[in-house]
Amino acid sequence: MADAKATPEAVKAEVRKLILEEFLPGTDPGELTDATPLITGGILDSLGTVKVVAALEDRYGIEIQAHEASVTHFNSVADIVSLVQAKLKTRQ
Amino acid sequence: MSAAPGATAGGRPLRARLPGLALAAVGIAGFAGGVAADRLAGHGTGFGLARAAVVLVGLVLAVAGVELASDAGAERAREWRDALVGPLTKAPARLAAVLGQLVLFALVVRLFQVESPAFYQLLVPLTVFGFVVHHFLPARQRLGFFIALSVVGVVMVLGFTNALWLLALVLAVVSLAHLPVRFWLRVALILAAAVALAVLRAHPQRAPWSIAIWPVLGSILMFRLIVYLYDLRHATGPGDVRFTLAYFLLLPNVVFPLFPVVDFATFRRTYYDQDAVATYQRGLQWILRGLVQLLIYRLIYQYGTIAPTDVVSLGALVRYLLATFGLYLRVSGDFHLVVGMLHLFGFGLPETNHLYYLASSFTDFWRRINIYWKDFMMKVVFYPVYFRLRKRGDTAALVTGTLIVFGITWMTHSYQWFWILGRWLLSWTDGLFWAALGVLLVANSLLEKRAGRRRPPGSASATFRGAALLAARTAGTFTVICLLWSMWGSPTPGDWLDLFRVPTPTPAELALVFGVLLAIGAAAVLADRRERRLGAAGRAASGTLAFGPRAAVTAAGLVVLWLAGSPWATAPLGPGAQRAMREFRFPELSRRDLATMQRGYYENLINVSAQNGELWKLYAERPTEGADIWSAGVLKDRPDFLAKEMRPLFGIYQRGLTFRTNRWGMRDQDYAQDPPPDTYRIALLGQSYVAGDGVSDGETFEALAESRLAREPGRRTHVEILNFAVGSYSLLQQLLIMDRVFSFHPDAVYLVGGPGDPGRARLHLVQQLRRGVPPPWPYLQGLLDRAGVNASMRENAALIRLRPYSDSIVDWTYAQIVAECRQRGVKPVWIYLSLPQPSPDTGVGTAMAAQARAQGFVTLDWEYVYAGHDLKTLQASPWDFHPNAEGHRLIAERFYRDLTEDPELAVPK
Repeated sequence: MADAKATPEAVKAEVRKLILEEFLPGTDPGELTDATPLITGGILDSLGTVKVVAALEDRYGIEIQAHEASVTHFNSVADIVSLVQAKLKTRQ
Repeated sequence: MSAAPGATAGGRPLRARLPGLALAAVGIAGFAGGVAADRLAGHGTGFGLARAAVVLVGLVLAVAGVELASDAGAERAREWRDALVGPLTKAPARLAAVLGQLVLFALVVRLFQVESPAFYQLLVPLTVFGFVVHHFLPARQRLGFFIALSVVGVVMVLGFTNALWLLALVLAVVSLAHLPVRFWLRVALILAAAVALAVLRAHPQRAPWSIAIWPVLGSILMFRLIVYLYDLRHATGPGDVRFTLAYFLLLPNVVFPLFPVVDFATFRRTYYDQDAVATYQRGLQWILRGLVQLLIYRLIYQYGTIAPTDVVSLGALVRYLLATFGLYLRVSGDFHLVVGMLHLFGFGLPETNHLYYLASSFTDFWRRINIYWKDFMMKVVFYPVYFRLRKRGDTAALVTGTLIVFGITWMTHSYQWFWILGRWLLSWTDGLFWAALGVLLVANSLLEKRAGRRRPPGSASATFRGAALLAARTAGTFTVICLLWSMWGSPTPGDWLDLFRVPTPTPAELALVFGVLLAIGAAAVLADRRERRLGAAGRAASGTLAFGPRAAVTAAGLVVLWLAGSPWATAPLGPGAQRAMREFRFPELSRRDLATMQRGYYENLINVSAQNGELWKLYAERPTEGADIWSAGVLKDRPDFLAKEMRPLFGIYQRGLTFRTNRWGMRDQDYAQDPPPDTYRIALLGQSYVAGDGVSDGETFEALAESRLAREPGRRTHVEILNFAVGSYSLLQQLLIMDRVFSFHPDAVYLVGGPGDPGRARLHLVQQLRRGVPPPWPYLQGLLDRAGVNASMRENAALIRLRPYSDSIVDWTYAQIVAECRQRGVKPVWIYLSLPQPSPDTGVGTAMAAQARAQGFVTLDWEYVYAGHDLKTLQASPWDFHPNAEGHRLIAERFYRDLTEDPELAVPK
């Protein structure tokens, strides 16, 4: 479902929640910073990445391409937020 | 380039530009002088290190001079000054620590002769020199210098002409990717170029360039071009041609044909993305890790590997499985070295392999081993397939994507060996290996998907139960991967299954298996706890230590390696330890690879891959056509147990050598069937090296000895030596030709034997039996029956069963030959002679001679005939250890001395 009021802070909160619940259960939320390396740090693998892609597409009504499912766009919460923001901007 | 602030509209006056122009002139003179000096010196290959340094410094001075003479000269001068002075004022101790470790690295690789002479003599010193210059350059100039350094590296290793061909081919193919036409047309043009190159690769003699450049060219283009095209297709901004050139001309590639598939986007993204000196230090850490892995690999390769036919107990099976999987350390070690060296030039690339022996599931294994390949497949295959199919459901997309990845991995494995060796290496076991791994990975992925939320990395061992489960899972995964790996290395699935036909294990053997698995499980728990301590950032950075401790640990590791390999440090441990260390430092082919190579001479077996350790490197230099005299038509098949013989009056000119047979099918001059009067006739029997594989007609040791005897003043009896040797003949075939030999009325029969004789006799017996030709002797047929060997058995299984009868076969054959000689009053002589190749065993000649003497032969032991000579100078080629002309000359000297001086031979004067 699309969300027209997806501010960067709101997207970040959603992404953090998703990562903490799905990939870091039981971890202190403080350990997940904007820059925590998700792919190179071993938190997200290929299956994890497509799971995040599906969640973002569903949540924000955006479409993420295969070549975008990369370390460039998914290695940190900040990277993911940037990608979502860019997609939302393009859609507008 | 924009003008510097304060520059006049008309530019700077000439006087202000003069220092820069002078510097540029000096640089150009240095560059040209370095190249010219190298050419004038007539250097055989390419730059020596000193000239390479002059050329590179000349280039740097020329660039600096041009910049200083430009309109922005003042600003550029500040930039160059800051680059030169900055590292000396800002944390110079850190830079000194890096440089010190780099020098230690150069010492260690030289001491242990890591990889190849091109690596430890040329590329590593060039890297040390290049690192220093590179770090003191303005950041803007570093990438250009790295490209120049890589080009010089190629010239140093391959020589000017080959380097020019290589660079021209790479640039031509990469340029196609940038033609101003539609993307798919560019792809089609590149595919057409690839097909043309593939045709030339399959027939390298048709290419105008040397065979030496193929493995490097293949390694540069075969995968990186695919990644590059993918990134080009999806690029969002203009590219930087310097990154393109640097990407395709990566410095270490020229000596590492098996090269990690570096991702272009990652290559660009990680370029100086962190503190420079910290990046260098991480590179050194990985270099040390790579060195340690390569040295462990060397231990496994030399002392751990055994042939499948040696797997006669559970203990031997465990050794075989562990050693086979352990050989992957070679790839992992090389990749660590490569990526570590790239860090020294600012490329902060991620880890290539990570504790793959400690994977706790098949998906975990795939994530840990050859990570660059996994990322490559994920990027260009899995994600495109998955994203295309996901509307049909996640599971279908996941399963299809994964299976396609493994299918392509299987095919590209063979594709890779085609570019490196010039041959497709497709086998059932290869296909089965990737299929099995693919299916296991799919099953594992589906289980993980069903399980839902993932456990954070490093949390598996948080509780005792978790630790026990982790240990069990890791031991299980390790076992399955070991089994699959051994199948991958087997010629056929049946050969692999035969490995497991071992007798009931002893308690000690079961304890060994349990101990290995326990050790693997315990190591996995410890590694998991370390992962937890590291956290995500620590895992990404390969550790959390600060620069100082990290440098100290790496330096200490390098010092330990250097001390361990230094002769003066091992001297107090005694001569045994010194000899062991010397053998370790100068690695040679293992027993298993030597045996494979021996067999490959005759049967054109090119079953090589990374699992053959060192052998594939030799074969990469081997021409695909015209390399083997025995498959050039000299042999003709026979339907009987003899199987083959040499054609009479055959002649060929190959590899610059003549090879002719006389009317009797001997590789020798012509002889009458009956000896002339006053002639002492010797019939010489043996294999390829006696027949003179590797030398021209008239250069065989028997021909040299014979002609020297003929020239001997005062000799009353003429000595003839008739060469009955045939490539690959086993003892049993020698026995079969005895009647033919006696038809020439020899006074003596000299049978030349070598270390491979027992194995070759068993092999011939089994091969003939399997083609429906039983041995023509009841004794051997009875022996086959006792061993339980029949025509329907697979080769390895039959060889294993015959193993206990090896000595019996040899003794019986010797006794037959001696008896037949004695019946006719012919003197039987047995000679031990091996190829000029490093032998893992010493004293074999003495033991074999004792065996021959016991059966009645007069024996000559020529085991040390090559002593005091560099064996490589006596070999026909780097990929063919048959003696060359010099080798035959040495043997002939020994032969002549024995013929004239040994009273037991009783050759008349």
